[in-house]
Amino acid sequence: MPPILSVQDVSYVFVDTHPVRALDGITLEARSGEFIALVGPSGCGKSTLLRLLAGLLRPTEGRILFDGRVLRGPRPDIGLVFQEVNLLPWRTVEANVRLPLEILGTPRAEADARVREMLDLVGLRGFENAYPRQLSGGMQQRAALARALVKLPRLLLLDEPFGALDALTRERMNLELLRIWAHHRQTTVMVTHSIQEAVFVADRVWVMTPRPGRIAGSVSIADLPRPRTLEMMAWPEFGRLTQAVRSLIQEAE
Amino acid sequence: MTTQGWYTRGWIRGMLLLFSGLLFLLLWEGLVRWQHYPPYILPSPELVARKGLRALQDGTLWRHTRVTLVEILGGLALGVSGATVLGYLLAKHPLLEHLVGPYVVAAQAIPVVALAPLVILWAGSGLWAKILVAALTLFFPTLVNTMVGIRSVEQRYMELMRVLNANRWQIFRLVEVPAALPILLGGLKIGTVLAVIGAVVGEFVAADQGLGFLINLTSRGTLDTALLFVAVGTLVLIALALYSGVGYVESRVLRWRG
Repeated sequence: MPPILSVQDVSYVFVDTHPVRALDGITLEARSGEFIALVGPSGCGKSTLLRLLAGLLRPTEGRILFDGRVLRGPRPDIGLVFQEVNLLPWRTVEANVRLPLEILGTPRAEADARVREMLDLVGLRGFENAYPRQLSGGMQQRAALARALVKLPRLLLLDEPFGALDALTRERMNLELLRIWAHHRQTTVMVTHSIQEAVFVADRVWVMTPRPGRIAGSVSIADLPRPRTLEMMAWPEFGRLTQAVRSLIQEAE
Repeated sequence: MTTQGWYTRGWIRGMLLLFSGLLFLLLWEGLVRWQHYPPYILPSPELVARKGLRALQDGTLWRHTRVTLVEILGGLALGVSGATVLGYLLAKHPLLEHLVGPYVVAAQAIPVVALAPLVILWAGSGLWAKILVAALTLFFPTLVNTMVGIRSVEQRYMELMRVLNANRWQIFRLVEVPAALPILLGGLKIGTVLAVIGAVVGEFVAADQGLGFLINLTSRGTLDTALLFVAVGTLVLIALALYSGVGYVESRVLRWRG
């Protein structure tokens, strides 16, 4: 089966006072339904890569294929969850989740049903009429996740979605994310700087190195069965996999 | 939440306001009696009240108030809509701001009092001239305020709209307007008060009706100072009503801020 997402020799140069090569010759791929994690130290360009995948930026060189077509801009079947919670503060939770469908022009009845389904899925039933400021950080990011999923995207992009949360909430949200992901099994790319988190959620971890951002290699996490549980983090297998990822990062330095 | 003082309770605040009002009237009455001012210098509150009542009964007050009210509301509508549209365009297009900006600032540098006779000269001494003067008075502050409001819209909201493939109209309607609304409403509050000033300035230059005309007439012609007080008091009431009207809308529309 050919990959649904294929990044082919992509470089990205942005011009500040002088040109800066942020990404250099990135090649990676994801099969349909695969959960991949992009891990690397800060400044390795993983967020930039995610922006390219979202169609917010265009590659300077190379190309990105999604579903057999070259990516030329934002697409309705690609959903993005931002690093910082990006809910519109003047809209209720319900209205925030509805926003993508409103822009798309989805008929009212269908939108209602879909919004309700997503709020149920992320566990925000009963908070429909709350404003973002009334929610905890974890619940805000649940709402943002529901908003990204409401268009039933075939590619879900997550930019360190739980980076601002405390460690305990973060663990719980990763479990929640996997539970939600199991419903539709959309192809997912998650950016993180935590090796543990990457190994815990992903089917395959791609390791990036900084200045310019390059792919150092990838590690398959197929040996950890799904559904994942927090106990697996104590398994020897888990330790072996995180070590494999860590040594990829160290080799490159 | 700020600290809850004893004075934050609704009925206590009402009583305090009433009390300070009564105290003010009492001091005023006392001053008139103590100094034996003639009514054309400082009429007693009682005389002003009687005058106001009579002006209300014989229709004089309403006749003048109605004219000024139309001028104020017309000036508000014209000035706010014009300044908001231009402010939005200037905020979105730096080149336009570069070209038009200096003229706008130059026009603002001329005091409205100096500009008003020119407007009357060009637009005649009718209703439209006063609406224009009122609109001019609030135009610049509203314009600058709109630019600040639109430019304060956070970039991350715009990026979200780009990911969602929103068109220009959707970005305007779903993000720019609601995000700028707190600042826009703040500007509208100031605008209402400026519109009152503008309408009166216009009437001062040339008018045969309106509250500004009444003030002019009583202070320079008939020396009916009590009626002058009635006219000024009515203007204050109009300004207060408009200001708190916008304040009410603000508290309803901006409930999301808590």
